[in-house]
Amino acid sequence: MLFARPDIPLDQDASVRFMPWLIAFMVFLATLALTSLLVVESLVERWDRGLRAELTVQIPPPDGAAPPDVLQGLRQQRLDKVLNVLAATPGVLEAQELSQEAVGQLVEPWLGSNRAEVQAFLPNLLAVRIDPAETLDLPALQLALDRAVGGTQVDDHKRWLGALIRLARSVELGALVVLGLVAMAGAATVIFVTGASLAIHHPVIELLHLMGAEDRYIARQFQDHALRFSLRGGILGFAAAVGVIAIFAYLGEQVESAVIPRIELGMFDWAIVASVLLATCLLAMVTARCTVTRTLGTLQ
Amino acid sequence: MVRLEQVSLRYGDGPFVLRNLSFSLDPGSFHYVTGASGAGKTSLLRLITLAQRPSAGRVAVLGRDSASLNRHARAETRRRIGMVFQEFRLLDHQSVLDNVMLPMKLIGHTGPQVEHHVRELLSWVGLGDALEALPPTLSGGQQQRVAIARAVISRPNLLLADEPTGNVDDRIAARLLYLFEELNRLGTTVLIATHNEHLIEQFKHPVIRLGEAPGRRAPAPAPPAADRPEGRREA
Repeated sequence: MLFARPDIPLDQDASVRFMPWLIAFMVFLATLALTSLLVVESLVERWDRGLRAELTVQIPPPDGAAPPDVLQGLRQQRLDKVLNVLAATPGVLEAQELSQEAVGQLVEPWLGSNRAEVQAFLPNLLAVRIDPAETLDLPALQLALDRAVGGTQVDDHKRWLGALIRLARSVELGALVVLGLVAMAGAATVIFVTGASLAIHHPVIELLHLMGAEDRYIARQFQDHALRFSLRGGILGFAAAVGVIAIFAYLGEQVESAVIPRIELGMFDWAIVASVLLATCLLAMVTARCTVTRTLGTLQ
Repeated sequence: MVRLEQVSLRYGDGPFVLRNLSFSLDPGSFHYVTGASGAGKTSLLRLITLAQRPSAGRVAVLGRDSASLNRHARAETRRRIGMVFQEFRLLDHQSVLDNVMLPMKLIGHTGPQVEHHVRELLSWVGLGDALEALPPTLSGGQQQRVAIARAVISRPNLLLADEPTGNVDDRIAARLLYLFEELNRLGTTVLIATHNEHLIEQFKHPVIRLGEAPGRRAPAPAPPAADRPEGRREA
Protein backbone atom coordinates (compact mmCIF):
# COMPACT_ATOMS: atom_id res chain seq x y z
CA MET A 1 0.00 0.00 0.00
CA LEU A 2 2.76 2.43 0.98
CA PHE A 3 4.60 2.07 -2.32
CA ALA A 4 1.59 1.17 -4.48
CA ARG A 5 0.54 3.72 -7.05
CA PRO A 6 -1.89 5.99 -5.16
CA ASP A 7 -5.31 6.92 -6.55
CA ILE A 8 -4.47 10.59 -6.07
CA PRO A 9 -1.32 11.59 -8.01
CA LEU A 10 0.20 13.50 -5.10
CA ASP A 11 3.78 12.82 -6.21
CA GLN A 12 3.21 14.92 -9.32
CA ASP A 13 2.52 18.14 -7.39
CA ALA A 14 5.12 20.84 -7.83
CA SER A 15 4.37 22.04 -4.30
CA VAL A 16 5.47 18.79 -2.67
CA ARG A 17 8.70 18.30 -4.61
CA PHE A 18 10.65 20.48 -2.18
CA MET A 19 9.19 18.74 0.85
CA PRO A 20 11.85 16.01 1.23
CA TRP A 21 14.55 18.70 1.18
CA LEU A 22 12.71 20.81 3.72
CA ILE A 23 12.15 17.81 5.95
CA ALA A 24 15.82 16.86 5.54
CA PHE A 25 16.87 20.31 6.75
CA MET A 26 14.48 20.17 9.71
CA VAL A 27 15.57 16.68 10.74
CA PHE A 28 19.20 17.81 10.43
CA LEU A 29 18.57 20.73 12.78
CA ALA A 30 16.46 18.68 15.18
CA THR A 31 19.04 15.88 15.35
CA LEU A 32 21.86 18.31 16.10
CA ALA A 33 19.74 20.11 18.70
CA LEU A 34 18.78 16.84 20.39
CA THR A 35 22.37 15.57 20.33
CA SER A 36 23.69 18.77 21.90
CA LEU A 37 20.97 18.51 24.51
CA LEU A 38 22.03 14.95 25.36
CA VAL A 39 25.74 15.82 25.45
CA VAL A 40 25.15 18.83 27.68
CA GLU A 41 22.85 16.81 29.89
CA SER A 42 25.51 14.14 30.35
CA LEU A 43 28.09 16.85 31.10
CA VAL A 44 25.83 18.47 33.68
CA GLU A 45 25.20 15.07 35.19
CA ARG A 46 28.95 14.50 35.50
CA TRP A 47 29.52 17.92 37.02
CA ASP A 48 26.59 17.54 39.35
CA ARG A 49 27.81 14.13 40.47
CA GLY A 50 31.20 15.70 41.19
CA LEU A 51 29.59 18.51 43.10
CA ARG A 52 27.72 16.18 45.33
CA ALA A 53 30.63 13.75 45.92
CA GLU A 54 33.80 15.81 46.08
CA LEU A 55 35.39 18.69 47.95
CA THR A 56 38.78 20.28 47.71
CA VAL A 57 40.57 21.38 50.87
CA GLN A 58 43.38 23.88 50.46
CA ILE A 59 45.96 24.17 53.23
CA PRO A 60 48.10 27.31 52.92
CA PRO A 61 51.90 26.87 53.14
CA PRO A 62 53.56 27.76 56.48
CA ASP A 63 54.58 31.40 56.89
CA GLY A 64 58.18 32.56 57.15
CA ALA A 65 61.42 31.43 55.69
CA ALA A 66 62.96 28.21 56.87
CA PRO A 67 65.15 25.46 55.49
CA PRO A 68 63.29 23.12 53.16
CA ASP A 69 63.34 20.14 55.52
CA VAL A 70 61.85 22.25 58.34
CA LEU A 71 59.20 23.58 56.01
CA GLN A 72 58.40 20.06 54.94
CA GLY A 73 57.94 19.02 58.56
CA LEU A 74 55.63 21.97 59.22
CA ARG A 75 53.61 21.16 56.14
CA GLN A 76 53.22 17.57 57.30
CA GLN A 77 52.05 18.70 60.77
CA ARG A 78 49.40 20.97 59.27
CA LEU A 79 48.34 18.25 56.89
CA ASP A 80 47.93 15.76 59.73
CA LYS A 81 45.79 18.21 61.72
CA VAL A 82 43.48 18.74 58.77
CA LEU A 83 43.31 15.01 58.04
CA ASN A 84 42.35 14.38 61.67
CA VAL A 85 39.51 16.90 61.47
CA LEU A 86 38.31 15.35 58.23
CA ALA A 87 38.51 11.84 59.65
CA ALA A 88 36.29 12.92 62.52
CA THR A 89 33.71 14.53 60.23
CA PRO A 90 30.62 12.39 59.48
CA GLY A 91 30.06 11.88 55.75
CA VAL A 92 33.71 12.13 54.74
CA LEU A 93 34.68 8.89 53.04
CA GLU A 94 38.24 9.58 52.01
CA ALA A 95 40.77 12.40 51.88
CA GLN A 96 43.71 12.10 49.55
CA GLU A 97 46.56 14.54 49.23
CA LEU A 98 47.50 15.69 45.77
CA SER A 99 51.24 15.37 45.29
CA GLN A 100 53.20 18.63 45.02
CA GLU A 101 54.06 17.50 41.50
CA ALA A 102 50.35 17.39 40.62
CA VAL A 103 49.70 20.75 42.26
CA GLY A 104 52.63 22.21 40.33
CA GLN A 105 51.11 20.96 37.09
CA LEU A 106 47.78 22.58 37.94
CA VAL A 107 49.35 26.02 38.35
CA GLU A 108 51.89 25.63 35.57
CA PRO A 109 49.86 27.71 33.06
CA TRP A 110 50.06 30.71 35.41
CA LEU A 111 53.33 30.26 37.28
CA GLY A 112 55.50 28.53 34.71
CA SER A 113 57.30 25.22 34.80
CA ASN A 114 60.14 26.14 37.17
CA ARG A 115 58.64 24.41 40.15
CA ALA A 116 61.62 24.73 42.47
CA GLU A 117 61.04 28.50 42.67
CA VAL A 118 57.36 28.32 43.43
CA GLN A 119 57.36 25.14 45.51
CA ALA A 120 57.41 27.03 48.81
CA PHE A 121 54.34 29.05 47.92
CA LEU A 122 52.16 26.19 46.78
CA PRO A 123 49.39 25.09 49.11
CA ASN A 124 48.69 21.48 49.99
CA LEU A 125 45.56 20.25 48.26
CA LEU A 126 43.34 17.44 49.46
CA ALA A 127 40.74 15.75 47.29
CA VAL A 128 37.98 14.77 49.68
CA ARG A 129 35.42 12.20 48.71
CA ILE A 130 32.14 12.58 50.57
CA ASP A 131 29.10 10.39 50.88
CA PRO A 132 26.39 11.94 48.63
CA ALA A 133 23.75 10.37 50.87
CA GLU A 134 24.96 12.31 53.91
CA THR A 135 24.26 15.99 54.41
CA LEU A 136 27.58 17.57 55.16
CA ASP A 137 27.60 20.73 57.30
CA LEU A 138 30.06 22.71 55.22
CA PRO A 139 30.17 25.91 57.36
CA ALA A 140 30.87 23.77 60.44
CA LEU A 141 33.62 21.88 58.62
CA GLN A 142 35.12 25.13 57.36
CA LEU A 143 35.16 26.49 60.92
CA ALA A 144 36.72 23.32 62.34
CA LEU A 145 39.45 23.25 59.68
CA ASP A 146 40.18 26.95 60.15
CA ARG A 147 40.57 26.36 63.85
CA ALA A 148 42.94 23.44 63.26
CA VAL A 149 45.06 25.27 60.65
CA GLY A 150 44.42 28.93 60.12
CA GLY A 151 43.59 29.90 56.52
CA THR A 152 42.50 26.43 55.41
CA GLN A 153 39.73 26.65 52.86
CA VAL A 154 37.07 24.22 51.76
CA ASP A 155 35.96 24.51 48.18
CA ASP A 156 32.83 22.62 47.15
CA HIS A 157 33.20 23.98 43.55
CA LYS A 158 29.69 25.29 43.70
CA ARG A 159 30.69 28.83 43.06
CA TRP A 160 32.12 28.35 39.57
CA LEU A 161 30.60 24.98 38.68
CA GLY A 162 27.15 26.28 39.58
CA ALA A 163 27.52 29.04 36.99
CA LEU A 164 28.64 26.48 34.42
CA ILE A 165 25.64 24.30 35.19
CA ARG A 166 23.32 27.27 34.82
CA LEU A 167 24.91 28.01 31.46
CA ALA A 168 24.52 24.38 30.42
CA ARG A 169 20.87 24.40 31.44
CA SER A 170 20.37 27.48 29.26
CA VAL A 171 21.94 25.62 26.34
CA GLU A 172 19.57 22.73 27.01
CA LEU A 173 16.61 25.06 27.07
CA GLY A 174 17.78 26.59 23.79
CA ALA A 175 18.02 23.12 22.22
CA LEU A 176 14.50 22.33 23.40
CA VAL A 177 13.22 25.58 21.92
CA VAL A 178 14.92 24.73 18.60
CA LEU A 179 13.29 21.27 18.68
CA GLY A 180 9.88 22.81 19.36
CA LEU A 181 10.27 25.42 16.61
CA VAL A 182 11.40 22.79 14.11
CA ALA A 183 8.39 20.61 14.98
CA MET A 184 6.00 23.55 14.62
CA ALA A 185 7.56 24.69 11.34
CA GLY A 186 7.39 21.11 10.03
CA ALA A 187 3.73 20.73 10.98
CA ALA A 188 2.84 24.13 9.47
CA THR A 189 4.58 23.21 6.21
CA VAL A 190 2.77 19.88 6.00
CA ILE A 191 -0.57 21.63 6.65
CA PHE A 192 0.13 24.16 3.89
CA VAL A 193 1.28 21.57 1.36
CA THR A 194 -1.61 19.22 2.18
CA GLY A 195 -4.11 22.07 1.80
CA ALA A 196 -2.62 22.94 -1.60
CA SER A 197 -2.75 19.29 -2.69
CA LEU A 198 -6.40 19.03 -1.61
CA ALA A 199 -7.24 22.00 -3.82
CA ILE A 200 -5.22 20.72 -6.78
CA HIS A 201 -6.73 17.24 -6.65
CA HIS A 202 -10.28 18.26 -5.86
CA PRO A 203 -11.70 16.61 -9.03
CA VAL A 204 -10.08 13.26 -8.20
CA ILE A 205 -11.18 13.49 -4.58
CA GLU A 206 -14.72 14.26 -5.69
CA LEU A 207 -14.63 11.26 -8.01
CA LEU A 208 -13.43 9.00 -5.20
CA HIS A 209 -16.23 10.30 -2.99
CA LEU A 210 -18.78 9.65 -5.75
CA MET A 211 -17.48 6.10 -6.04
CA GLY A 212 -18.00 5.58 -2.33
CA ALA A 213 -14.58 6.29 -0.84
CA GLU A 214 -14.71 7.15 2.84
CA ASP A 215 -12.84 10.19 4.12
CA ARG A 216 -10.39 7.90 5.90
CA TYR A 217 -9.53 6.16 2.59
CA ILE A 218 -8.63 9.52 1.05
CA ALA A 219 -6.87 10.68 4.21
CA ARG A 220 -4.77 7.51 4.16
CA GLN A 221 -3.48 8.39 0.69
CA PHE A 222 -2.28 11.75 1.98
CA GLN A 223 -0.93 10.13 5.13
CA ASP A 224 1.06 7.54 3.14
CA HIS A 225 2.34 10.28 0.87
CA ALA A 226 3.47 12.29 3.92
CA LEU A 227 5.22 9.19 5.25
CA ARG A 228 7.04 8.67 1.94
CA PHE A 229 8.37 12.21 1.67
CA SER A 230 9.17 12.53 5.37
CA LEU A 231 11.02 9.21 5.32
CA ARG A 232 13.04 10.20 2.26
CA GLY A 233 13.89 13.65 3.65
CA GLY A 234 14.30 12.35 7.20
CA ILE A 235 16.87 9.72 6.26
CA LEU A 236 18.83 12.29 4.28
CA GLY A 237 18.79 14.86 7.09
CA PHE A 238 19.56 12.28 9.76
CA ALA A 239 22.51 10.89 7.81
CA ALA A 240 23.90 14.40 7.32
CA ALA A 241 23.49 15.17 11.03
CA VAL A 242 25.20 11.92 12.08
CA GLY A 243 28.08 12.83 9.76
CA VAL A 244 28.43 16.24 11.42
CA ILE A 245 28.25 14.67 14.90
CA ALA A 246 30.97 12.19 13.95
CA ILE A 247 33.20 15.03 12.75
CA PHE A 248 32.65 16.97 15.99
CA ALA A 249 33.29 13.85 18.05
CA TYR A 250 36.56 13.25 16.19
CA LEU A 251 37.67 16.86 16.62
CA GLY A 252 36.69 16.74 20.30
CA GLU A 253 38.90 13.72 20.85
CA GLN A 254 41.88 15.59 19.44
CA VAL A 255 41.57 18.26 22.17
CA GLU A 256 42.85 17.30 25.61
CA SER A 257 40.61 19.35 27.83
CA ALA A 258 38.38 18.67 30.76
CA VAL A 259 36.21 21.68 29.94
CA ILE A 260 35.29 20.88 26.33
CA PRO A 261 32.63 18.19 26.48
CA ARG A 262 33.24 14.96 24.67
CA ILE A 263 30.50 13.65 22.43
CA GLU A 264 29.94 10.23 23.89
CA LEU A 265 26.54 8.78 23.16
CA GLY A 266 25.48 5.40 24.46
CA MET A 267 23.06 3.04 22.76
CA PHE A 268 20.15 4.59 24.64
CA ASP A 269 21.21 8.08 23.57
CA TRP A 270 21.47 6.98 19.94
CA ALA A 271 18.01 5.47 20.21
CA ILE A 272 16.71 8.85 21.42
CA VAL A 273 18.51 10.67 18.60
CA ALA A 274 17.13 8.19 16.04
CA SER A 275 13.66 8.85 17.41
CA VAL A 276 13.84 12.24 15.64
CA LEU A 277 13.35 10.36 12.37
CA LEU A 278 10.44 8.37 13.75
CA ALA A 279 8.87 11.46 15.34
CA THR A 280 9.21 13.40 12.07
CA CYS A 281 7.43 10.69 10.08
CA LEU A 282 4.71 10.42 12.71
CA LEU A 283 4.26 14.18 12.87
CA ALA A 284 3.99 14.47 9.07
CA MET A 285 1.53 11.56 8.86
CA VAL A 286 -0.71 12.72 11.68
CA THR A 287 -0.67 16.34 10.47
CA ALA A 288 -1.54 15.34 6.90
CA ARG A 289 -4.29 13.00 8.07
CA CYS A 290 -5.84 15.55 10.43
CA THR A 291 -5.70 18.30 7.79
CA VAL A 292 -7.43 16.10 5.20
CA THR A 293 -10.04 14.76 7.61
CA ARG A 294 -10.85 18.24 8.88
CA THR A 295 -11.09 19.71 5.36
CA LEU A 296 -13.19 16.87 3.95
CA GLY A 297 -15.46 17.10 6.97
CA THR A 298 -16.44 20.61 5.91
CA LEU A 299 -17.47 19.45 2.41
CA GLN A 300 -20.98 18.29 1.64
CA MET B 1 -34.68 1.20 -5.35
CA VAL B 2 -34.94 4.90 -6.32
CA ARG B 3 -37.79 7.21 -5.42
CA LEU B 4 -38.12 10.93 -6.19
CA GLU B 5 -41.04 12.86 -4.71
CA GLN B 6 -41.79 16.37 -5.92
CA VAL B 7 -38.10 17.04 -6.49
CA SER B 8 -36.96 20.42 -7.73
CA LEU B 9 -33.41 21.54 -8.31
CA ARG B 10 -31.79 24.86 -9.01
CA TYR B 11 -28.16 25.91 -8.65
CA GLY B 12 -27.93 28.94 -6.39
CA ASP B 13 -30.37 31.60 -7.50
CA GLY B 14 -30.43 30.32 -11.08
CA PRO B 15 -33.42 28.93 -12.94
CA PHE B 16 -34.89 25.57 -12.00
CA VAL B 17 -33.13 22.70 -13.71
CA LEU B 18 -35.72 20.20 -12.50
CA ARG B 19 -39.15 21.02 -11.14
CA ASN B 20 -41.65 18.85 -9.24
CA LEU B 21 -40.19 15.63 -10.59
CA SER B 22 -41.62 12.40 -9.17
CA PHE B 23 -40.97 8.82 -10.17
CA SER B 24 -39.72 5.57 -8.74
CA LEU B 25 -37.59 2.77 -10.08
CA ASP B 26 -38.27 -0.74 -8.85
CA PRO B 27 -35.41 -3.09 -8.04
CA GLY B 28 -34.25 -4.93 -11.16
CA SER B 29 -35.83 -2.44 -13.59
CA PHE B 30 -34.17 -0.92 -16.67
CA HIS B 31 -34.97 2.65 -17.70
CA TYR B 32 -33.80 5.35 -20.01
CA VAL B 33 -33.97 9.00 -19.08
CA THR B 34 -33.96 11.25 -22.07
CA GLY B 35 -34.45 14.84 -23.08
CA ALA B 36 -32.67 17.50 -25.05
CA SER B 37 -29.31 18.85 -24.02
CA GLY B 38 -29.75 20.92 -20.86
CA ALA B 39 -32.95 19.11 -19.91
CA GLY B 40 -31.41 18.09 -16.61
CA LYS B 41 -30.39 14.47 -17.26
CA THR B 42 -26.98 14.85 -15.68
CA SER B 43 -28.43 16.81 -12.75
CA LEU B 44 -30.94 14.03 -12.18
CA LEU B 45 -28.14 11.47 -12.07
CA ARG B 46 -26.21 13.69 -9.65
CA LEU B 47 -29.24 13.73 -7.35
CA ILE B 48 -29.42 9.94 -7.45
CA THR B 49 -25.67 9.55 -6.80
CA LEU B 50 -26.14 11.84 -3.79
CA ALA B 51 -23.69 14.34 -5.28
CA GLN B 52 -26.35 17.01 -5.16
CA ARG B 53 -29.09 17.84 -2.67
CA PRO B 54 -32.51 18.72 -4.09
CA SER B 55 -33.71 22.29 -3.62
CA ALA B 56 -37.08 20.83 -2.72
CA GLY B 57 -38.65 17.40 -2.46
CA ARG B 58 -37.33 14.06 -1.35
CA VAL B 59 -34.85 11.64 -2.91
CA ALA B 60 -34.54 8.07 -1.64
CA VAL B 61 -31.84 5.79 -3.01
CA LEU B 62 -31.47 2.10 -2.24
CA GLY B 63 -34.23 2.48 0.29
CA ARG B 64 -32.59 5.35 2.20
CA ASP B 65 -33.71 8.94 2.30
CA SER B 66 -30.78 11.06 1.05
CA ALA B 67 -31.47 13.80 3.61
CA SER B 68 -30.96 11.43 6.50
CA LEU B 69 -27.65 9.96 5.37
CA ASN B 70 -24.48 10.84 7.25
CA ARG B 71 -21.09 10.82 5.50
CA HIS B 72 -20.42 7.17 6.26
CA ALA B 73 -23.87 6.02 5.13
CA ARG B 74 -23.62 8.14 1.98
CA ALA B 75 -20.28 6.54 1.09
CA GLU B 76 -21.70 3.09 1.81
CA THR B 77 -24.69 3.79 -0.46
CA ARG B 78 -22.47 5.10 -3.24
CA ARG B 79 -20.37 1.95 -3.19
CA ARG B 80 -23.52 0.10 -4.25
CA ILE B 81 -24.00 2.43 -7.22
CA GLY B 82 -22.04 2.12 -10.47
CA MET B 83 -21.71 5.38 -12.36
CA VAL B 84 -20.60 6.01 -15.93
CA PHE B 85 -19.82 9.70 -16.26
CA GLN B 86 -20.38 11.57 -19.47
CA GLU B 87 -16.83 12.88 -19.38
CA PHE B 88 -15.54 9.44 -18.20
CA ARG B 89 -13.54 10.83 -15.26
CA LEU B 90 -10.79 8.24 -15.37
CA LEU B 91 -7.63 8.51 -13.30
CA ASP B 92 -5.13 9.58 -15.94
CA HIS B 93 -2.07 8.52 -13.96
CA GLN B 94 -3.31 4.97 -13.45
CA SER B 95 -3.41 2.11 -15.92
CA VAL B 96 -6.64 0.85 -17.41
CA LEU B 97 -6.38 -2.18 -15.12
CA ASP B 98 -5.94 -0.01 -12.00
CA ASN B 99 -8.83 2.24 -13.02
CA VAL B 100 -11.19 -0.69 -13.28
CA MET B 101 -9.83 -2.22 -10.07
CA LEU B 102 -10.64 0.95 -8.13
CA PRO B 103 -14.24 0.11 -7.12
CA MET B 104 -13.06 -3.29 -5.93
CA LYS B 105 -10.39 -1.60 -3.80
CA LEU B 106 -13.04 0.67 -2.31
CA ILE B 107 -15.14 -2.27 -1.23
CA GLY B 108 -12.05 -4.02 0.08
CA HIS B 109 -11.79 -6.74 -2.58
CA THR B 110 -8.33 -7.16 -4.06
CA GLY B 111 -6.07 -10.04 -5.00
CA PRO B 112 -5.31 -12.25 -7.99
CA GLN B 113 -8.86 -13.58 -8.33
CA VAL B 114 -10.30 -10.08 -8.59
CA GLU B 115 -7.57 -9.02 -11.01
CA HIS B 116 -8.37 -12.04 -13.19
CA HIS B 117 -12.01 -11.00 -13.18
CA VAL B 118 -11.07 -7.44 -14.18
CA ARG B 119 -8.88 -8.71 -17.04
CA GLU B 120 -11.74 -10.85 -18.28
CA LEU B 121 -14.17 -7.94 -18.27
CA LEU B 122 -11.70 -5.67 -20.05
CA SER B 123 -11.17 -8.33 -22.72
CA TRP B 124 -14.91 -8.57 -23.12
CA VAL B 125 -15.21 -4.84 -23.80
CA GLY B 126 -12.35 -5.08 -26.28
CA LEU B 127 -9.56 -3.68 -24.15
CA GLY B 128 -7.66 -6.88 -23.42
CA ASP B 129 -4.53 -5.56 -25.08
CA ALA B 130 -4.64 -2.17 -23.35
CA LEU B 131 -4.55 -3.25 -19.71
CA GLU B 132 -1.40 -1.30 -18.85
CA ALA B 133 -2.19 1.69 -21.04
CA LEU B 134 -2.81 5.07 -19.46
CA PRO B 135 -6.21 6.63 -20.27
CA PRO B 136 -4.80 9.71 -22.09
CA THR B 137 -3.26 7.36 -24.66
CA LEU B 138 -6.67 5.83 -25.50
CA SER B 139 -9.31 7.02 -27.92
CA GLY B 140 -12.57 8.52 -26.63
CA GLY B 141 -14.41 5.27 -27.32
CA GLN B 142 -11.81 3.20 -25.48
CA GLN B 143 -11.94 5.54 -22.51
CA GLN B 144 -15.70 5.23 -22.46
CA ARG B 145 -15.41 1.45 -22.31
CA VAL B 146 -12.94 1.71 -19.43
CA ALA B 147 -15.44 3.94 -17.62
CA ILE B 148 -18.21 1.41 -18.22
CA ALA B 149 -16.05 -1.51 -17.10
CA ARG B 150 -15.23 0.45 -13.93
CA ALA B 151 -18.90 1.10 -13.27
CA VAL B 152 -19.99 -2.52 -13.64
CA ILE B 153 -17.03 -4.43 -12.19
CA SER B 154 -18.39 -4.52 -8.66
CA ARG B 155 -21.85 -5.71 -9.77
CA PRO B 156 -23.59 -2.66 -8.27
CA ASN B 157 -27.21 -2.70 -7.13
CA LEU B 158 -27.86 0.39 -9.20
CA LEU B 159 -26.10 1.37 -12.42
CA LEU B 160 -26.33 4.95 -13.66
CA ALA B 161 -24.87 5.86 -17.04
CA ASP B 162 -24.67 9.32 -18.53
CA GLU B 163 -24.55 9.08 -22.33
CA PRO B 164 -22.60 5.80 -22.18
CA THR B 165 -22.57 5.27 -25.94
CA GLY B 166 -21.83 8.83 -26.99
CA ASN B 167 -18.31 8.09 -28.21
CA VAL B 168 -18.55 4.57 -29.63
CA ASP B 169 -19.73 3.17 -32.94
CA ASP B 170 -23.02 1.30 -33.28
CA ARG B 171 -21.43 -2.13 -32.96
CA ILE B 172 -19.69 -1.27 -29.67
CA ALA B 173 -22.79 0.61 -28.46
CA ALA B 174 -24.89 -2.51 -28.99
CA ARG B 175 -22.29 -4.62 -27.21
CA LEU B 176 -22.32 -2.24 -24.23
CA LEU B 177 -26.11 -2.28 -24.07
CA TYR B 178 -25.99 -6.08 -24.05
CA LEU B 179 -23.61 -5.79 -21.11
CA PHE B 180 -26.04 -3.49 -19.28
CA GLU B 181 -28.93 -5.84 -20.02
CA GLU B 182 -26.93 -8.81 -18.81
CA LEU B 183 -26.20 -6.97 -15.55
CA ASN B 184 -29.87 -6.07 -15.33
CA ARG B 185 -30.81 -9.73 -15.69
CA LEU B 186 -28.46 -10.47 -12.79
CA GLY B 187 -30.46 -8.03 -10.65
CA THR B 188 -28.85 -4.63 -11.16
CA THR B 189 -31.27 -1.74 -11.58
CA VAL B 190 -30.20 0.31 -14.62
CA LEU B 191 -30.87 3.93 -15.48
CA ILE B 192 -29.30 5.28 -18.66
CA ALA B 193 -29.35 8.93 -19.58
CA THR B 194 -29.20 9.29 -23.35
CA HIS B 195 -30.57 11.28 -26.21
CA ASN B 196 -29.83 8.45 -28.65
CA GLU B 197 -33.34 7.64 -29.90
CA HIS B 198 -31.96 4.89 -32.12
CA LEU B 199 -30.64 3.09 -29.08
CA ILE B 200 -33.95 3.54 -27.26
CA GLU B 201 -35.72 2.03 -30.25
CA GLN B 202 -33.31 -0.84 -30.60
CA PHE B 203 -33.25 -1.89 -26.92
CA LYS B 204 -36.77 -1.41 -25.69
CA HIS B 205 -37.09 -0.26 -22.11
CA PRO B 206 -39.28 2.30 -20.33
CA VAL B 207 -38.33 5.93 -20.91
CA ILE B 208 -38.45 8.91 -18.55
CA ARG B 209 -38.60 12.09 -20.62
CA LEU B 210 -37.48 15.38 -19.12
CA GLY B 211 -39.00 18.72 -20.26
CA GLU B 212 -36.96 21.10 -22.30
CA ALA B 213 -38.25 24.63 -21.66
CA PRO B 214 -35.34 26.72 -20.32
CA GLY B 215 -35.87 27.73 -16.71
CA ARG B 216 -38.82 25.39 -16.34
CA ARG B 217 -37.41 21.89 -16.27
CA ALA B 218 -40.64 20.15 -15.59
CA PRO B 219 -41.25 16.55 -16.52
CA ALA B 220 -42.36 16.22 -20.12
CA PRO B 221 -45.72 14.74 -21.01
CA ALA B 222 -46.12 11.03 -20.42
CA PRO B 223 -44.31 8.79 -22.91
CA PRO B 224 -46.12 6.53 -25.38
CA ALA B 225 -47.82 3.62 -23.70
CA ALA B 226 -45.28 1.17 -25.08
CA ASP B 227 -42.47 3.05 -23.37
CA ARG B 228 -44.29 3.80 -20.16
CA PRO B 229 -43.35 1.74 -17.13
CA GLU B 230 -46.51 0.58 -15.38
CA GLY B 231 -47.93 3.34 -13.26
CA ARG B 232 -44.91 4.24 -11.22
CA ARG B 233 -43.39 7.24 -12.88
CA GLU B 234 -44.46 10.60 -14.09
CA ALA B 235 -42.20 11.76 -16.79
